[in-house]
Amino acid sequence: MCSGRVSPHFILKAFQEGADGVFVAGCHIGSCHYGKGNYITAKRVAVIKDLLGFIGISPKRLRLEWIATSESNKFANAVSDFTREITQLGPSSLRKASPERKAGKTMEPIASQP
Amino acid sequence: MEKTREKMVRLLEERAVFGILGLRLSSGHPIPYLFDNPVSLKDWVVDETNRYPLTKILVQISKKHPNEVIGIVVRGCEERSLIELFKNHQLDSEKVKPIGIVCSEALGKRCRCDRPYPSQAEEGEMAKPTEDLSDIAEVESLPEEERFQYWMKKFGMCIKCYGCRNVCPACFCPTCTLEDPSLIKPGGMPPEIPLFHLHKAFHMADRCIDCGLCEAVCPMGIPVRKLYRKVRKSVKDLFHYIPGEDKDLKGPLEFLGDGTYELPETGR
Repeated sequence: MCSGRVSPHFILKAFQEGADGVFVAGCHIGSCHYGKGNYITAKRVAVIKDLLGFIGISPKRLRLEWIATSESNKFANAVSDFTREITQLGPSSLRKASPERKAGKTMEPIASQP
Repeated sequence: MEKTREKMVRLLEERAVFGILGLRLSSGHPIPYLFDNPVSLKDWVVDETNRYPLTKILVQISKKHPNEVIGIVVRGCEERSLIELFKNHQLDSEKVKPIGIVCSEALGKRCRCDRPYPSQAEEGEMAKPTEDLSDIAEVESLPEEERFQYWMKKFGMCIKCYGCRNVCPACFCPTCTLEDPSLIKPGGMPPEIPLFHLHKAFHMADRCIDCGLCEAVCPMGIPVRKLYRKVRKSVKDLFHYIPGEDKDLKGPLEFLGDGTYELPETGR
């Protein structure tokens, strides 16, 4: 799915459902499959980060990376790195606010798996 | 405001407009009214305490009378909202005749308005703009966890009356995210917080003209304007775009981009 299709509402909804972090990956700027789909992604994510920070959810919990389909190593590294960072940050305040929330189990970092 | 009244009388006499939307004193209360003859204008008033979403009412009237030119008395904020409505094809700029009035210094200060005057006015002095973002800075100075608690406490008071949306001149969609069951669980009070308010805040980012009607209308006193002022500032800082300024410039979040808007830095 084009990263431009990732509606800001999906990202916000994920946090509401208890996600500790949201990772958005898209094609590099300039090599969008559809021309300019990722332009809007870049703009949206920047605004959402500001908004999250303002209401007290660390903007670090939302990450945008440009990863081409051929860059499997970059993808794996980026996800591991992000998972590590989120593990360090701990559960999001939103999840702490309502612990009965079903979704949002903290994932183990990929690196620690056998 | 006699010069303005004279101008309005002239417009109606010359039949340059079908009617003029403004406030009329009725049993001591100023209420929105479409003045359609010069005589009725004797009851026209300017009021600095009672506010109405006049431009939103204009959208309704012009839907009924799409071929008529309608006048409207506008303050700075209302003129900005007109620009957003033109831009988003809710009003036809050729069918609207704005009649500007300036705000008093006191009102400008009270609203913390950065442009308390329209582009044109018949009379009066332009009040000094107030560049006061202390309300945002105050929240930002709190540690993250306290900030979160602050907002959750405020949002938790929401009775989901949709007042902030209904009064907002930038909210005109026939279907609304806030009523989409796949995004916001129907029923329940308060609504899903902070999601409910964040959905609206994101939409406000490149549309909010900072009129403050949302906060004025909120029965629970939730400081929603603060939230929208923040995203408005983000868009200004990130894309150098100010909603309500230029009717030929699109909001950066409304379209993919053509390179004229700087792309923000990505990653962390």
